[in-house]
Amino acid sequence: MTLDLADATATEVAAAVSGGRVLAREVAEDTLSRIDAQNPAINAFTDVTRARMLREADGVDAMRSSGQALGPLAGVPFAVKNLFDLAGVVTLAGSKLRRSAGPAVEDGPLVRRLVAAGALTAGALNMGEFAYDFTGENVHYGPSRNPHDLERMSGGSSGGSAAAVAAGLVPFALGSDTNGSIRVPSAFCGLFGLKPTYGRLPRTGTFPFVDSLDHLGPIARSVADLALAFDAMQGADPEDPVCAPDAPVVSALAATDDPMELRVARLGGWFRGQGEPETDVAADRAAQALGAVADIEIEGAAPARAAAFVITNVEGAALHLDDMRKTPEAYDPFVRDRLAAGALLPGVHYVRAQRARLTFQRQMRALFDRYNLLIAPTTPMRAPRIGDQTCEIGGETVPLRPNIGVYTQPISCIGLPVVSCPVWEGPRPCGVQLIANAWREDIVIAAARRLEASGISSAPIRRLI
Amino acid sequence: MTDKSLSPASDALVEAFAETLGLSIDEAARPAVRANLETALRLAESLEGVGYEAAPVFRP
Repeated sequence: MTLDLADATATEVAAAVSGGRVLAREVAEDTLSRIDAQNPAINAFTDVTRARMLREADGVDAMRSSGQALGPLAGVPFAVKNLFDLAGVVTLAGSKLRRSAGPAVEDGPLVRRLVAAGALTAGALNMGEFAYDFTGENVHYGPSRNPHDLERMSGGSSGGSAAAVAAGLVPFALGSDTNGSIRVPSAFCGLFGLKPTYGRLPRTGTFPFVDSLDHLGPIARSVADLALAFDAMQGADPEDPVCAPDAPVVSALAATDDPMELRVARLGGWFRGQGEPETDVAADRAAQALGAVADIEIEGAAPARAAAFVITNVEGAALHLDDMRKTPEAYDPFVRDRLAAGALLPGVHYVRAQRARLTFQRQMRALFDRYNLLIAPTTPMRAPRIGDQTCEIGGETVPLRPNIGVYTQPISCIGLPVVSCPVWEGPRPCGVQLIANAWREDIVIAAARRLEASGISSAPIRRLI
Repeated sequence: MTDKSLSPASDALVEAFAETLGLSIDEAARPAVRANLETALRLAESLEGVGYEAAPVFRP
């Protein structure tokens, strides 16, 4: 093998397998041996689907030897946050409660689409309980650890997804993002993460959290890999009423070298100065590199964040109320006590939150008449230490958990597409959000690729052995 | 702009609300639930007057 599989991107693996330079079987065996060797240090996988992965690899090799055309992800390993259904695997959603749920009878549509494109399923990944988490910690399964510093948080709730990709165990992984759960772990682990437009990818076959805000998407070490995975997953699904049947299809891969004009603004106000100065420096560097012409403030960001908080609290509580009545002791107390508060919140506040969301959407749409790309930090801090409960913001000590998402929540609240790009300020990465108008994933991919090509943004593997 | 320490709320209120929902919140958990409720209420109240003109139906 001339390809170093530990370093190879999805794009490189697919090209090598399609070109016959490496067998998909070799890729699968190499991946499984790296998972065996390195996963204990980072605790990313909760299930390794060894037999399935080898079977899928043999299928790809058989197709190639019989002269059949291979898909764009031929022989590319991937793994999924354990709220995605994988046939034969219990969809834990990070919980103890769902251990008795029995294995999923079939794959969800996104997994099916990736496998149809030739990808190889490596397994299911650790996550914060029921996705109500920004840290990557989990009281039942232990924290997934940040490969760049094992004492630090991977970020949540798709912490296992980010840890597995940053350690080079798989080239890409799937996560979910309700308030920042793709973007936060991508920022903490130094990766590219795509949260597509709300309604772009179907959530069917995943354990839900907040219907009004749930998104799914990929995390990867290169922008081309994000695009490759995203393109393979696009498409309507009548089983998810939120998934838009007539969404304009974009080619994210084509966008990686699209010389489109970018009209860029850096978001200030709410999106500046809430945390470590390095996070602002990183966003400013990205903004400068992309030719930002303005620093703008949006008055609706704080209410949008408040609305996201309330909607999450109430819808999450509604989803879990029956189980919380029956087995409150099965929950992580951090999660249970927030869900309980959500159940107690008066309904009028929920309706007001939904209205505030629409107001912010209108403000942002007006902004996109002038700009087609907005830039903001992903988080107000770099990865904290595992177990930290507080952080310093504006010179004051405040609770850590609710403040990790202050920059991501207003954006997902109105469903805009975002790529979080890794920008390194010292030994720990910062995340920078590139934000576009709804359905314009091509713009955020094009901009992310420019940052990557310019060297401002990069996602190096942190090898653990 | 950030979530800071929280002022005390009524345990009796938490208990009464929980009872109507059939939720059992034991004494040890009550301070945390109360604190979370305070945070949510404070954020919810910050939405006073925002978006009253908008119909609560979201489309991306």
